[in-house]
Amino acid sequence: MSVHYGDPQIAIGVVFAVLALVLAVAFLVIGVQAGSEASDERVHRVGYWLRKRWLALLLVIGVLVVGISLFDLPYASGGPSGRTVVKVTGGQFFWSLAPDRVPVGTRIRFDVTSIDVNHGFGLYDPRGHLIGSVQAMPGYHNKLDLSLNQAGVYRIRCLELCGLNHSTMQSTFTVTRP
Amino acid sequence: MAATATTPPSQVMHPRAAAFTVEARGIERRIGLLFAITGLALVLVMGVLGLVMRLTQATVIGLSPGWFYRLLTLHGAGMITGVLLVTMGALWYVLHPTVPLRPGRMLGSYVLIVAGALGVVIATLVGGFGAGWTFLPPLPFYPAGQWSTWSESVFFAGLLLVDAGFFVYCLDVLEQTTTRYGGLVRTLGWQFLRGREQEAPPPQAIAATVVAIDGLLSSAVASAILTGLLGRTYDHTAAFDALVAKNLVYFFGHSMANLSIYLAAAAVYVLIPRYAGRPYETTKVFVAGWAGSLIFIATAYSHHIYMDFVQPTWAQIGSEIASYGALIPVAVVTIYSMTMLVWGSRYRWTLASTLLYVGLAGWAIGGVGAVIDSLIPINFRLHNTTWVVAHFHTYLILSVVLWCFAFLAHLLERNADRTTSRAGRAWTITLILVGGYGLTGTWFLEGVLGVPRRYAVQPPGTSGYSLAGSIFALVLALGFLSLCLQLLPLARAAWERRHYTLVEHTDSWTGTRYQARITRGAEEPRPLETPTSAGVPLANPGQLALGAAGCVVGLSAFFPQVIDASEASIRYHHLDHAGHFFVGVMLGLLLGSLPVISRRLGERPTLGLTAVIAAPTVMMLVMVPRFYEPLERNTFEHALFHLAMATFGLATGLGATRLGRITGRLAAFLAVSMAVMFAAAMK
Amino acid sequence: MSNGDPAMNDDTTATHTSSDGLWRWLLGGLTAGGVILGLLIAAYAIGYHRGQHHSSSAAAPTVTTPTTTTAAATTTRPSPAVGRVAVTPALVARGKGLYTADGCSACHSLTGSSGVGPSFKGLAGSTVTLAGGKTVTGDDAYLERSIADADSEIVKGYRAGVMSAAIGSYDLTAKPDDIRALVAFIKSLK
Repeated sequence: MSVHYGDPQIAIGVVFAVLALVLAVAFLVIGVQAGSEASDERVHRVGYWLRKRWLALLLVIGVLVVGISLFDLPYASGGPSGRTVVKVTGGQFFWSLAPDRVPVGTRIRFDVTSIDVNHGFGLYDPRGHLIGSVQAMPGYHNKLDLSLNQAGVYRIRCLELCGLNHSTMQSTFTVTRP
Repeated sequence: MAATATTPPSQVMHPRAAAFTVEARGIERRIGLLFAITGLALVLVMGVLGLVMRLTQATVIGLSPGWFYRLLTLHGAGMITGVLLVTMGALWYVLHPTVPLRPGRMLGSYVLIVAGALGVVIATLVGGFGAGWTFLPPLPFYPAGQWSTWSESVFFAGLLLVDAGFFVYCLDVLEQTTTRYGGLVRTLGWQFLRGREQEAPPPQAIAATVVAIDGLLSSAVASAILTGLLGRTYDHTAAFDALVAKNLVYFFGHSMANLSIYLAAAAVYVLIPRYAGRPYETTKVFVAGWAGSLIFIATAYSHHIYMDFVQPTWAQIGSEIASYGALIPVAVVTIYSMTMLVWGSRYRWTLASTLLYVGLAGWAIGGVGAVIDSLIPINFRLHNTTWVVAHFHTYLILSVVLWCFAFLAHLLERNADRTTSRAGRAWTITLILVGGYGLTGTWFLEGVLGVPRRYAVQPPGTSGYSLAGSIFALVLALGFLSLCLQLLPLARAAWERRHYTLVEHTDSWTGTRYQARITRGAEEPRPLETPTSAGVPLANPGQLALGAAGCVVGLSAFFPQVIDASEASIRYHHLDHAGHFFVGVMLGLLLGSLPVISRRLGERPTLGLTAVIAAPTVMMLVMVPRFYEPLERNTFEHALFHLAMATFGLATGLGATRLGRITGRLAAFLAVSMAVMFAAAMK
Repeated sequence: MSNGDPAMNDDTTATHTSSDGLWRWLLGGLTAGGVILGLLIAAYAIGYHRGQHHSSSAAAPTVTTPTTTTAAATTTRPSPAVGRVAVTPALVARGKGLYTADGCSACHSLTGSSGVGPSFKGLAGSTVTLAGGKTVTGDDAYLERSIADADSEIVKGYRAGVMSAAIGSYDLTAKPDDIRALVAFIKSLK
């Protein structure tokens, strides 16, 4: 479990921390100023002026981030088209991957399913960083397209509560050097 | 020598608030206290369980994974139920002065919810059920030796009871607000928004109506999936579709958790003004914001299913948009307006008002964590890590639970006419904030690192975080202990003053003032009249004609050709059963709405309510292969079974006509929807 | 949910419309319903006849399906040797449901490609080579044995122990109807 420079999670964490801090400070300042008196007229003037801009800011940010996110959806579509299909089957409490190793740089399609309950296919790179996850559902095949460019032993952990040994349901996936 | 009697200025609330604060009646205080104390007791016990879990993860306590997951399940279900109870009571307390809500319904709701909670406690602690409060199917049926089959049934039955209790509550709220303010569109403030009217219902009424509608939807969905799963526990050949089941489960779970926050917000709209001394009134922006929330609360649920790639992409994108849409009314209307009220108001800092204000910050910060995770590419990396745990605990501990305590504190402060010491308050808030944000902050950090959630055994190398989290949890526990200790003297003072109110007499000539005690109840404001029958679902000849047409068209579900064609798959056959049910419902609505029959049936709202809840539930419970496969061999018995479906529908439809115009229609619609959702899920 | 005219909230208003008026409305509603129903029946009849022209005898069995399926159920005793399984649309549909519900899809494809287990496509009736080298015919009895006693006859090239672990919790030996449905489904995959 780790993150390293360049991993997206770092940016996510930093953005959250900054926003949380800004909000905390804002609430602190307003809380302190709550003790003093401001006329209703002044509150309305400042408040409504600010609110218009606040709404505009939120709308702009919202539309931007949602729009950008639509370009990076993880949903695979279409046929395998040259990808190596790795069949992943989850069950209580094991993972079976076929094949369980590929050469580095292979374009992979993980075809993930479950034979009993919902599991979560969580893929961690050799440094312990979570690349991402996809659900393993009984009766359905979820397809995740990835290219793993780092050689080494990847770890799979279960990311959906599946019973007693949910915490210990692990496996490995090897990306071999060419 | 005449004396004038006035209520002495409140020692607790803002001086200017007296102009718009209503006196609380005995019934409001009692129900508020009942729900607040029961709910908070449940929350506190669940909190201890949470502490035990965190200590287990830190390997300070050596609880087995089996017990960990039992506690996890109980903690989730119990917390949601607890906060729901308190916020239901809080909304009742602020709404009842203007809307004639029925105490009988409220108490019925209470009994159902407490009974359901008891079932969940037994299923988890005694039966070992440990599938999480979200019981994601098919996990409940794969115990892997952890729990017994009966615990599955008891858990589902318990949740069904809680769900029924919430249904009863929402139905009463919706019925009474729409009757009081004249129809659904007017109650939501939309006529006011369009400029057709000068006044709109007060903020808490609009909020209550929106919550009630989404609450009823959520209840219906919960009913459909829970009865299906309950059927599966005693008939293993009943199969269900994992994706549809997931959709139903997350719609229900997401809505319940969300609605508890919005319920609390409705109470906050009334309580913060009392300490800020500024009234909060409905504006067009407010109405528009809540109209948005009505839609977005219901459509954002698929953000729990982002990582189920087989979910249709339009549903995923729709939920992403809805999740961001939901942010706008919260950030721009609720949180912003409340902060605007507080700013520069000479805010009266009491225990209740401090908790109210701090809760606003909790919702804002938790919300940031939530909307970040609502972006699909980011969710890909954060899904089911502790980031999720962090954000909802921020919402729940540092916003809703604080608001729940604020409600109790307000009740007690008001009755006692005093608040806690400043130092005591400072300590409590500091402990809670440090402990709370430390606990959730650790989880946010672990989420960034990719640590999975719901792990009884933490991954190697993360024990430091678990330990830090446990320490913060202990600090938080101390904070809540301190909070309870602060509330005790308030409770004692309120108890001593329970029989009287203070009245200040001013002698008109000398101006001398003296206080006197007047027995409570003598000068209580008159209770609002509960209106009589608010109409029937099919209210005019045109609608009756539509009902008749519906019955006739629905008869197609009985044709042998249709029945045979529906045998192509179990799902289609269940849909056919839903068709039979639909005919019965339409017939019931039609007959019950006819004036002559409606008069004969008389005013029986409770019987109607029972029918509307029981009939569809029983219908879905018997729709399992174990019952109908033996019948299918005999054409006559098969036809009888279909007729039984229609009879259940008839009972539902007739019952719906006793509820009132709007709630009757909604109840009938939801009953048929439940049958359809059941058909979609159970294959 | 329409707002409705406030005056119409009161159900006594309906009686102010003369009972003639009310009955006229109801009759109108019934007639409208009848018309729509008639249209639906007409649409079904047209579609049905069109279907008759296109397919050979597919249409006929669907009407009598319930009785043929149940006849099969009542004449066989619930013992492992279920004998020859009739491929009826309802049974195949049920088997198809079980194929996904019981997790067969995780290991057995329908397309011919082998996965954790052999594909079902073309399996019924084919010659199967078992792990020891022995060959058997993939008849009904073989299919039924493979489900009820999962690791008794492993196909060459596949691992033992996986299937029994995977389906153990379904307890299929106690559900001959399910086994029959699955066999019917497998047989329907040419």
